[in-house]
Amino acid sequence: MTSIVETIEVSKEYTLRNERVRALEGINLRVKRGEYISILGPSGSGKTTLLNLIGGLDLPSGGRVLIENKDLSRMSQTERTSIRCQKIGYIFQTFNLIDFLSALDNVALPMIFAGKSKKEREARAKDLLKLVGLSDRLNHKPTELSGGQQQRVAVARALANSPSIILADEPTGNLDLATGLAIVTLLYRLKTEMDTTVICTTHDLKMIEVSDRIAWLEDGSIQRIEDRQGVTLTAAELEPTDHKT
Amino acid sequence: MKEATTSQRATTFPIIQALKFGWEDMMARGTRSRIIAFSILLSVTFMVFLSVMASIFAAMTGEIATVQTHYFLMEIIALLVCLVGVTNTMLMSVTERFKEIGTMKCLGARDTHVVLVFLFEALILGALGGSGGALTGLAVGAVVSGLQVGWTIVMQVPLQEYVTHVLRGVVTAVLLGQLGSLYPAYYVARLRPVEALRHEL
Repeated sequence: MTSIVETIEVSKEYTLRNERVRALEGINLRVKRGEYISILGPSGSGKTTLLNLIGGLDLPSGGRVLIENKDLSRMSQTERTSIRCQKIGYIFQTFNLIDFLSALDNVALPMIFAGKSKKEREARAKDLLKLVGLSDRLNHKPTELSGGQQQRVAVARALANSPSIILADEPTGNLDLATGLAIVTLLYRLKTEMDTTVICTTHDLKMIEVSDRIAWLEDGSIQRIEDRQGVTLTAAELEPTDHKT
Repeated sequence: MKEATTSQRATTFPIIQALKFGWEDMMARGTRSRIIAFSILLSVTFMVFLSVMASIFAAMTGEIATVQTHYFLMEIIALLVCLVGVTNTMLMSVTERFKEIGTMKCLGARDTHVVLVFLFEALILGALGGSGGALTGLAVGAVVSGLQVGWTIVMQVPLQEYVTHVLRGVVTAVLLGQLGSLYPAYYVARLRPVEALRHEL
């Protein structure tokens, strides 16, 4: 299987009150097409920073991030925006829906940037909202939806331009246990049915259940990468830590 | 690199969509929008009021040049105060919307798309505030002059001159809105998506 995402010796530094802070160091990761990989680690371990670099939302201080063998750092800003629009779907912990747009318009928004016609946008947005079980909430604003429903809209939005990669940053972090599980199951279903690559950061250990591989991140470095089969713990055993966000 | 350039089409944001987005965003932030429109309305009211008074005073005394220079300087000061106010309010408005802009950029909006949304929003606010201000300024100027110097002198000023004052007020308001939003729009559009998304109020 070819790798769709690859990071080579990626590092990221910030300047915080005149002090250099190293958020990531020597990150080498290859993600295969159609794979579901979870990046696990405690808060402040660099999970979100890594996801931002993979998604082209930020650029590394050192090393390279390749999306389908193309180096994000060597692309122009317009090219990176285009990659973000067409190849990558984002799901955030805080949903990040546009509050004055309806669920339908939120899902259709990435398709406007992709240059799709109104007819195409509406039809696809309706299909996607149906897929995530919200066909009866098309015209509801985010404030009229529950947290779980908002995250479902965000999942539908992430799928709008049929991206090959879904980046989910702690998608269950703001949800209760049952709703979180429903979102995780939905992501897994999408991965299997649509052959989408899912990269998900979390410190919610039940994510292990649906992952093909797990990368353990600590203090900005990958400690180990394990196959699902190699991880002996099960989600049921780890339930007590679920509330941790 | 060539591959990336040829295979990836630049993202788009049709003008009609930017206009719609600006309008809905403006409506969603009613109070902030009303403050901006009102500050434009007040300064344009003052500007048109002064112009009308100048015309009437000139019709009464015949001292066109001196009178107009005096009033023009006052107009400039009023407009500068308004410009600072609009810029400040727009800066606060973009700060409130960092996350929304970060999300838009994440989904495919380019810097120019973000600038467009803000400029359209300012265009609508400028046109609304300007129209209201110009008509109010005309009405107040005419009534005050009419009561002070008599309606005959007010009627001596050609209608065309009053219309010019109103149009000049609307155009100035639109320009004022655009100028006041230019820096906030540019500032927010230049933010990297990750910076905008990280921002918490």
